Amino acid sequence: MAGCLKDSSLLEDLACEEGDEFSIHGKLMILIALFALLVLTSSAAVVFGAYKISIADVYSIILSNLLHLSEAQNMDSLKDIIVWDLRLPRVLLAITVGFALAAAGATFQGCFRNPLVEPYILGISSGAAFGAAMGIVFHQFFFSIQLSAFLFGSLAVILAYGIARVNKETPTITLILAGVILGSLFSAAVSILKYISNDSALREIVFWLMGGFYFASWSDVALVTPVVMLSFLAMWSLGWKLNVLSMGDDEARGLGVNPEKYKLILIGLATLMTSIAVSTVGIIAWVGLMMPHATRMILGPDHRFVIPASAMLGGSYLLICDTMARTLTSSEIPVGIITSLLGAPYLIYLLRTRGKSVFE
Amino acid sequence: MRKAILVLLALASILCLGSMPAMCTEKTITDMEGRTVTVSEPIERVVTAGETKVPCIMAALGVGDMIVGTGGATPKTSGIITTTPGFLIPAINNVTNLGRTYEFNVEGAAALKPNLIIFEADCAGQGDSINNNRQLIEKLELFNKSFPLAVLKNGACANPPSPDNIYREIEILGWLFDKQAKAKEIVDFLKEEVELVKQRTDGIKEEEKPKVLFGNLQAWSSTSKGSLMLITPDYDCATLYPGITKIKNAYPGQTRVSMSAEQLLNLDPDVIILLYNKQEWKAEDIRNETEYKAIQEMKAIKNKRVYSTGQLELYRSEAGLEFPIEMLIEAKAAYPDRFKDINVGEQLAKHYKALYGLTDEQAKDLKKCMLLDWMDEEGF
Repeated sequence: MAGCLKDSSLLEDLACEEGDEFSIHGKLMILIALFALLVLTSSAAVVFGAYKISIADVYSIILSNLLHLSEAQNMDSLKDIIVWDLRLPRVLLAITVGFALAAAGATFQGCFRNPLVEPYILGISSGAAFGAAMGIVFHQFFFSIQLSAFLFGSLAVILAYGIARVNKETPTITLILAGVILGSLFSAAVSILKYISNDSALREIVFWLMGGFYFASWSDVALVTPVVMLSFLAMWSLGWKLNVLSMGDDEARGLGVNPEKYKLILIGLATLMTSIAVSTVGIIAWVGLMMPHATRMILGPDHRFVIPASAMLGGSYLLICDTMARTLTSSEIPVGIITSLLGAPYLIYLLRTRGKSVFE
Repeated sequence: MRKAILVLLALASILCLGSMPAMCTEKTITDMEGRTVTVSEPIERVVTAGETKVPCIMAALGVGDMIVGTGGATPKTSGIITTTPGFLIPAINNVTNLGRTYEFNVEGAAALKPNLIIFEADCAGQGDSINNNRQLIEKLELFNKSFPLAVLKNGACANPPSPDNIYREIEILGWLFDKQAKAKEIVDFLKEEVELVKQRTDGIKEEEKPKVLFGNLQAWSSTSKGSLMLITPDYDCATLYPGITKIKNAYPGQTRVSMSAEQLLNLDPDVIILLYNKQEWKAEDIRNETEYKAIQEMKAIKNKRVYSTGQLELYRSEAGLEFPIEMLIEAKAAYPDRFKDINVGEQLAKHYKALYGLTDEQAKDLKKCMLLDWMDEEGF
């Protein structure tokens, strides 16, 4: 620890603990490796699909479209549509959503100093599900299902925060409990909507709840990616403050960091990116819980590294899962099934091989 | 030599001219979504999406073997031996199953290089919330330059639900596959069957109508956790056409509900019509099994007025064009005196033979697959 603090400022090295296996340089190398993994998985994912298109053709189509070359018009339009309109937006959306859920998960876990916390802890998923169900059942009153899901997802967190706020303070336990209560309430409301909905609306609600990238489009990418990336950058820039917050409110105050202010900012950013992701693709479990764990086990608890590493690992992981979902069988498999099936054994493996508690 | 070349050129021109119409013919139709669809002939490879009647209509038109991929025409639910399309077009069991509704693999469909994709929207359950349908249509429309998409809508998509939509579907498909005469024959036959029900139920007064409960047994009573039957309201699956069957639904609600034994006893309908159940329960089970002792005091059970539409519901793709038979079963169950001269089991055999060209033996086998052989056993 002493060695770790020697060459850097106190705040920047708060995360250094005995047992950290990697130096700053080593951690940077891991970040670069994770970025390379993300590039590699996306390069591979865009090549895989039910329709056989050669690798050369796939990249030629992408380049032609990117550079607005006239070649794009001369390409086989079927291949062009498959690569440019079906696969690429789906790949980008899977990366973005994986990015959002994993980065938000890392932030929530840091803010609440609890490794069991996930992005949905404050009721975002239940709120968004309620919003989507309202948009489906009472579609005549709602502009769009996505907007309704986003608004109610955000509302759930605002309500949880409002309920938990007492005497200008927001105790972590109270906030989590408020989230659990609101989540439960919204879940009950979704059940009521399912109960009163007709057959086709019921099917739509069930479909929405399962989550997936079936209908990913360029407009989804254009809507979700900027919000997620800007929120991610803002969160990442506050990584060292999150390190301080994760030591406890009193310690944070002692170090001159206002815990209320920064918790509000970080939870707000995490909520924003989770809400927009969930409202677009539905509820996808495990990514937000598991990826921060996995990265923390590799890199230690320093959020300056955990946040980007989680995000990139989350993007790669969700992309691999979605590629499997669309290619393993002749029909689509709900991606949540694969995220759980692959994720749980991996986390068990990490726990068995590197099972130290990083929060102790 | 020059003469020989000229003769060859002339022959080639004649051959070319002769084959050009077949190769280049295009036809344009307006589908049931109001979209203009241009199809190049000949159509040889068809993908069907959605989960209703298209494969059966194609089988009836004699073009079922054109299906190279399908979304939901083959069994998915455990316990189902086969579906009507699977029985009529055995090869369909081996073609690519692209998944139902949201599971439909759009790229997988494109990989089959079809000449035409037919998407049949299903709006059953009084639903006009068809967001998934719209999203799937948008994705399939991307391929318009490569292969056209025709959108059809089943009977449930009309408001109120009407078999006229099904007749229109048949006409459109007949036109697409150049089988207009056969399509007309099929429509006329179905209209005749529906007319038979209409004539017999005509003039029934409200006070004459018995209370009929439609539902499927969800589980044995010991495993149902109190939820014994899933009850369907009007305009949902088997109850799409109350205006024709003149049936008064014992359940007045608007959405499907699960009911306990006590709730069922409280409704106490005059007639029960059991819909699809994958455990192959038969109507007599509900009368005799001790598992159902709690509801055996119901009027319908005591009076032995429990019937079944077999596997015609709840999954519409597992049945075919048998909606008139469904109406007949329901109407005869409700008004036995008005239909006492009609043997529905025999009518179903006639229906199968007329529409699909099945033999007696095949018709019997299909009845068994669809769990409708009880009608022959009971002389219904």
